[in-house]
Amino acid sequence: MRIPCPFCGDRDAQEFVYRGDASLTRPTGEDGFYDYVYLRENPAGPIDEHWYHAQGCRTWIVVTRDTRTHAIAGARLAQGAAR
Amino acid sequence: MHFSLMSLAANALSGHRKWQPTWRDAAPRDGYDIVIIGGGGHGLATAYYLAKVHGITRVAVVEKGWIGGGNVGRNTTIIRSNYGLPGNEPFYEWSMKLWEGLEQELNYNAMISQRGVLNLFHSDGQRDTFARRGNAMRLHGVDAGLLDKDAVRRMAPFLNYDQARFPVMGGLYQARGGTARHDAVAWGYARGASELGVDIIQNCEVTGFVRDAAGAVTSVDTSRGRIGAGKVGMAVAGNSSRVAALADLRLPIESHVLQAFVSEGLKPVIPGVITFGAGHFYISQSDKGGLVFGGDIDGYNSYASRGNLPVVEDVCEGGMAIMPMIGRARLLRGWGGIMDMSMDGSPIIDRSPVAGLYFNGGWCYGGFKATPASGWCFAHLLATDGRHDTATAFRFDRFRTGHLIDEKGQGAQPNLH
Amino acid sequence: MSRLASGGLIDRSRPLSFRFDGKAYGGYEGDTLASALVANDVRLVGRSFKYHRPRGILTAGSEEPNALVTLRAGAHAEPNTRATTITLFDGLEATSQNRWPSLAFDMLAVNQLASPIFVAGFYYKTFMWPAKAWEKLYEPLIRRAAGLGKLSMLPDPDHYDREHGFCDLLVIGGGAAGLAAALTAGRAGLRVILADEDAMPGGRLLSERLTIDEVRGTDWAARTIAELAQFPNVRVLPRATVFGVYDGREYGAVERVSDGSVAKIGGSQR
Repeated sequence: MRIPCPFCGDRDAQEFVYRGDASLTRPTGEDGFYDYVYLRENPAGPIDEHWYHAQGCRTWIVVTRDTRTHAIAGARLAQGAAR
Repeated sequence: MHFSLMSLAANALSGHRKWQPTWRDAAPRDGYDIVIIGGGGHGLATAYYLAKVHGITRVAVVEKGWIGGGNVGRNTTIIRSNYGLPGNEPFYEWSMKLWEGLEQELNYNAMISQRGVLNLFHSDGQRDTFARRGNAMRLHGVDAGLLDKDAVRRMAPFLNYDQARFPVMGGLYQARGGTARHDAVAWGYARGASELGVDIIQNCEVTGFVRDAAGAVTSVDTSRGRIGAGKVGMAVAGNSSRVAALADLRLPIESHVLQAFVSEGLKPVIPGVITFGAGHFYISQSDKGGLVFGGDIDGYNSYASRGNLPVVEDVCEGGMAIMPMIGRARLLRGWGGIMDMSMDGSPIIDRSPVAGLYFNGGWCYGGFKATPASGWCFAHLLATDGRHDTATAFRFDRFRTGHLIDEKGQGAQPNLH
Repeated sequence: MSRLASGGLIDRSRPLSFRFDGKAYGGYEGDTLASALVANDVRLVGRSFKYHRPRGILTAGSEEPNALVTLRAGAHAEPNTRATTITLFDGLEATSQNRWPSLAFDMLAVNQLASPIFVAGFYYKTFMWPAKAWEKLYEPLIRRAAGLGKLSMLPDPDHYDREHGFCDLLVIGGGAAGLAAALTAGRAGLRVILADEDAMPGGRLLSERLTIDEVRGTDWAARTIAELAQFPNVRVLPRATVFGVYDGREYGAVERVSDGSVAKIGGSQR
């Protein structure tokens, strides 16, 4: 599987570390913290997820990928990405 | 119809034309006391025990495809009860005891074969960790032994003992662990349940829940119509989130792909189940001769039931590292399944937050060995609304209260469990 | 002897000797083990899995269901190898599998007597009584009877390597269509990898009397392979089986680089 790193281009997925669902917003207080840590939408379809380019530019990126087909629609830097 | 050598011989005389279908291919009725979503091992076992133990027979199992086509047909057939944590071990040991009587219970040869499970260790620290787990097992009355290098060598002379990176120092051994024929488990439970009156309805996908004014589930909408239900139990691990979403529920679960592999048929070489301690690789040999083996999940969310090459390479490298004779065997087939990876690596058998909807899932990659106890405990929950003694820790709210059952100690990161 | 006096892909000026089940035979360079056995009128090469019925060579390729032999002996032994895919080399040794005491007289063929009972899935309906007998008696017997070849139990002494290949066009299969596709793409300057599972690409062109543009099939294949070899942008990989298609247009292939010979390469075997 190739991950399209915005800095490095298409790189093999083995260069990355997978974190998971990037659609969650970390709450500022106690409210919603349980949901944030434990509950997931886990969709069968497009998901925004965090990948970390550990063996490359060491940047966190947000990848949009379909969990049914593994087809990747695109990727953007996690920094400043809409949360 | 009772299965036996006599019945085989008698049927042979009539050209095998008089066998009855192993289970009735039922059409859905208007309503049932209990509808079980999911015709896999856990769902079918639940239906069987509901009928057999609790006398509840107005039960339907609805399966979106064909029974046994999901994870019960894809696993690597290992059964064991060598867990360390007190929330887990009594449950898996109860399952082990049910495995031990299963063929006689079901009158179906599930080929339960307790040829031992050996977890190799390769360092002092690992030995100490395994010894601790073995002691925890024994404190629960479960068999466990710590073998030294010589004892392991007598059992499995073909292992790579003296290589510099991962020397084999010994192993934690559960003699009662082993394998079971996975297809037979699905079909045996299906036959047993069907004979007791349970309707098994295939090609029937649940598309929605019908709820009353108070929010309780009263029926399921399916591709074959609406079916009324006193209670609904979902046992669809792999697809738990998709079905839960129909009831507006989010779960502490992510779906991940696990790959598994089998070689061409070979004369017997692997005595029982062997797991490599310095890489994720485990192997056993089926009765037909194929080496059945696997390793890690791929590590990214997936519903595709297939994985990628890095895991194939990793698994083969692990195999070559620990038993280099395997390089001369040929790979016959590789495949994948969808795992319910939970937030602590342990399962959930509990009422859901939605009234009338009961949940069984979060099995990660360890669901097959749990099949009998999962069915037993889920049936107990559905029938009595009470938790079975061995499954009291498998609650939804444990994530909120902090009573996590985290064997690997990895925390709230599903792909690390 | 069923060998034709002329024709085919073998080089009759280079004879080779080999052994099958301990008996010595002769073949030629270009033979597979299967073609050499057929030429020597060896009809019986294996036994069926369950009933141990006598089996002969059925095909001429990797689809072969019957002629599964163990190639070589000792640590280099390779069980379940299809005789139709083994390129004959001088000193080759192969043995038949899954028979006792011998291929010609296999006592386990007695299973056929019970064939009315040994129907598909019969084992689900029996072997349950007495309860302890499954593990102690029935299963060990079944396990010994099952499986075909035997692993040597010795560490695999071969060395392997891994490569990451890149191309614009991967052609899987080097028959007429594959060779033509590789040629067109190669001439157009694309980076091409052509993978064929056989020792020599050509597919059906090598086994039938076909013509392409009025050129004999075998000649057309040879010419095409020669032209492909001229292109720096084209790699032809014989003995390469593509076994999987993965995400991101990634493919997995196994290439048997020095299959067949035990000749030393750079000081170490194979």
